[in-house]
Amino acid sequence: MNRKNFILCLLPLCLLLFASTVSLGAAANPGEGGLENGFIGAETCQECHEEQYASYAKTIHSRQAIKGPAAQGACEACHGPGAMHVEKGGGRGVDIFAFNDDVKASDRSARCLQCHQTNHDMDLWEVGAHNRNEVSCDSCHDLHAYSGEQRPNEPEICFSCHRDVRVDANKRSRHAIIEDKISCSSCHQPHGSISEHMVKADDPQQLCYSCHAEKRGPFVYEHPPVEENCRYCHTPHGSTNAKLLTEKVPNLCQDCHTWQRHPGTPYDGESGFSGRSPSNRFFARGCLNCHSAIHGGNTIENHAFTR
Amino acid sequence: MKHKPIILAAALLLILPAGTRCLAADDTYLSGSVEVGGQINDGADEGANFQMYRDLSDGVFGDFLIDYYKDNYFIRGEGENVGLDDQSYELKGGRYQKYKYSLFYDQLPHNLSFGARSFYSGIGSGNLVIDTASPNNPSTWTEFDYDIETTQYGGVIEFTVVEPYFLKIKVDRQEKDGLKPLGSGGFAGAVELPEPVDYATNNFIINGGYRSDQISFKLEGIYSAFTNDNNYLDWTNPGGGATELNALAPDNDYGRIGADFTWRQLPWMSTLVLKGSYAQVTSDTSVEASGEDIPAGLNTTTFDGDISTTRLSATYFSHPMDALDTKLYLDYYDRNNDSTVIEYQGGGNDLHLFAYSKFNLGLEADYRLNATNKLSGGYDYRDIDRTNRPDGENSSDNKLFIELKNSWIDNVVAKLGYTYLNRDTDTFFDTIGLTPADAAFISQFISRYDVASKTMHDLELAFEFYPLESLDLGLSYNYVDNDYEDVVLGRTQDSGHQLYGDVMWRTTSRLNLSAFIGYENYEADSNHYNHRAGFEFQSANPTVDDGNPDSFVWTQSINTDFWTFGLMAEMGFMRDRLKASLAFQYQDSDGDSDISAPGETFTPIDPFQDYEITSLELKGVYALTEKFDLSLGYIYEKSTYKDLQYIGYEYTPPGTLLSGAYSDHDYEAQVGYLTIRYNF
Repeated sequence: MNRKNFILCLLPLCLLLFASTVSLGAAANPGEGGLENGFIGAETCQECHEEQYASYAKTIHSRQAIKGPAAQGACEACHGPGAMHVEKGGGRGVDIFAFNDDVKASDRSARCLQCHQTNHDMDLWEVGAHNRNEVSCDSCHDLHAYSGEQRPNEPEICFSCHRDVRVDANKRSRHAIIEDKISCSSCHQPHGSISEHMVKADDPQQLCYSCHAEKRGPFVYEHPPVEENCRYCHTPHGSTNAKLLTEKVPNLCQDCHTWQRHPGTPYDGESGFSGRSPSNRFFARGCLNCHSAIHGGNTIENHAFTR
Repeated sequence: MKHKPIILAAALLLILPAGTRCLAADDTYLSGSVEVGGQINDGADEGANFQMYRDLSDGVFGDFLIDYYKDNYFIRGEGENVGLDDQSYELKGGRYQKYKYSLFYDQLPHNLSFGARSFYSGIGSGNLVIDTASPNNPSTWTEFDYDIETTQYGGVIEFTVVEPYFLKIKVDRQEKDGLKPLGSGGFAGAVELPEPVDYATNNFIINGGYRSDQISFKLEGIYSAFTNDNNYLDWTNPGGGATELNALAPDNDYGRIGADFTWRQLPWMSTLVLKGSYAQVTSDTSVEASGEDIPAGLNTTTFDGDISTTRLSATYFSHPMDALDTKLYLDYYDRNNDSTVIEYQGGGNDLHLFAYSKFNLGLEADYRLNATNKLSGGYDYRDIDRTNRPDGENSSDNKLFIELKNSWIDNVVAKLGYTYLNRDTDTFFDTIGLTPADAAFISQFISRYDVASKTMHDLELAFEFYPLESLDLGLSYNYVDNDYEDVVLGRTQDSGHQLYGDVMWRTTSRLNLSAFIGYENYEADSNHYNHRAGFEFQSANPTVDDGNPDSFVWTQSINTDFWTFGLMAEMGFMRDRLKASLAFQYQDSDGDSDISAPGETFTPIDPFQDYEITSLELKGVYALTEKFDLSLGYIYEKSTYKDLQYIGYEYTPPGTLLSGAYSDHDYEAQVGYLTIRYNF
């Protein structure tokens, strides 16, 4: 194709693009062109819903320059046409799409997905545990929040359903969740995943290694439970036991290590510093007083993890 | 030249629509704030737990926020706790629907234990040498703190310019620097050493793909390199003066490639999700590098660690009728271990490389019985094959669950769920040639809870109650019971009750109240065997009485209770010119442990992980003017901890030299802060 032919082909394409852009612009703004379809325009909404409009005006959704509600009729882009609502004198949910519990969660989410579906983060929204358990977008996101603040207030918003995690995250031994250094979404994909507990990894083990790279090994001597699942010994959000352990040391270790000599020895209330038979297998850090390489040992000829 | 008008016309037609929109939508916005202030504390250095992940030391700090957009460009910059050890910065920006980027820097302190002591010099290095003539006199030791500072910085850029294609690149570096306690030693004595932490991990992640209404796919690659400045720790053994060596975390390289494919809008409104990934992590070490003596019969002096994992999964979601959703899934995960096998003369310390593969399949269904009832149920099968794990060569899990969700009473949602799990584990112990006089003979009697055969019952009950538009109440209860079957030695049973409740009451627009309560109980029982094969005859068979009173089966029962409550209030006064918040929390943990054996007398372990924490946070924000506000805050926390393992703590108990790690349990600390903020 020579240059002239290319340009001649380009011209009708440009004409087509121009026409489609103009027509798209008209269709995308029901506030201007859609009165006959029941659209009344944001100014009318504002007359009664002054507070809501004021908050909307501060949101990212109100920005004219992006492909969002402002370019598609403002309030009615999400709430639907308001003419009948006005005609009937208004009222909560009267002939208007409201984001409240009277409307099915999936329908509320569907409104948001009209624009946000193509976000690759939302790839598995339909199949994720939140959608399947009737958690909708507005359950976590404040749609009228000030620009930049639409992200859910983690972890509080998560705690409102996951009560056990709230309690765990405040315990004496914990990850830095309540300090806002690790957010729930640092580890979990709230918008849907097929991974166990919707974690952002192939499995929980790989997730832990993303921050604790020193535990990846590979070690000369492996500790099999460590290599299979961190959660055999640790709990992820918080624990009353040190190091987020599911039980105290030495009890946790002795549940598996019943061998000759000290692993099978009963350490009782006399084994502490001030007891009748103090033992360094019990007091202070118990087994870890000697067996420090518990996640894997890298010295030769030492399968007991003491070096 | 005659084509120029055509080109210009074409260009104008291309630019005009976009230009028109820009001109019509010239919205520019700038806002932000700058906050400076200071804090002063009392008692914050008494216990590391008070400042576990935060810096509450005396000093000046600041915050800032800037939010700017023009048309569809945006920039947001944020800095928190500037000047403190937990400071963080983030700069985000981009152009909506085209690209976005983020640069970040974050410091996370992890204070482990304050006021530790050591008789070594070279603390923080990989070589510890005794520097006092009296390693048994702690008053002469050097004081230091156990803490690790993590610094993470990097950037992310994401392109969606050519929709529906996307590309995301993330580069970051995580550095960890500090000290943590390391226990070492042996039968001759134990020593607690300050282990240097000088880690760096460089991560590079790239993913991209395509996303349409019907189909999406994503390819991802990850490369992560971990380095440790100290792969070994040399230390002088105070029990003889020899130089000993401990191996620390080895350097490693991790790589992963993955692909995801999602196909929507299939018949029955179905979605098919396929995922596959391959990952490999490698490390190496050698006897030459560590400087260890070469043991007799060692087959190789170098170790090349090589572990790869493969995951393949398919999930099929369907919505065949209005009331029914189904999920069918298959998942395969394989951990392959190609590391060097190290062998010795005699074989006692030979490596037995651990590997496993998991196969998982299941079916779940949600059926809406009517407008107010939903019934869910499912079956899950999981099979795990392990190599070199004789106590759990193969495990098969069969899990069933059922859940009923009911909302027939207005403003009440109730859920009742039950899960049953049966785990059947095959073992393969090679006891040929062993007799009860050999310690290894005992291995066939040990069932470890992570792989042991068991049945599990899990009951869940939850209520959500919304009596008023401004009042939410929630209550949930969970009971889990694991019964480990046919256990001779090991955990025989563990169970737990968990009860949680919360309430949120938005009384007026100027007063929000919320509270939560939690109670947890955990119980565990285990069987153990006290014996010492090889000395005087004691049998390694716990099921047979060998007639020796020193060999006996003993049992342990652990019981812990934990409860907590919290109250929060947010208030507005003077037409919200003054805003105040309050948060109060109390935690109490109380445990005990009993040991018993026929004919033996043991003292119960109590206190057993007993602690109380009381915390209070108050904050008031007063708007001086439209632009300036003043914040005044107060934090109080008191912690008491009682555990027999730490009561009467000594640095030099018999046969042991400790450093005081985690002995700084109790504290009563308070912090006050005052800041002024300018908003624009």
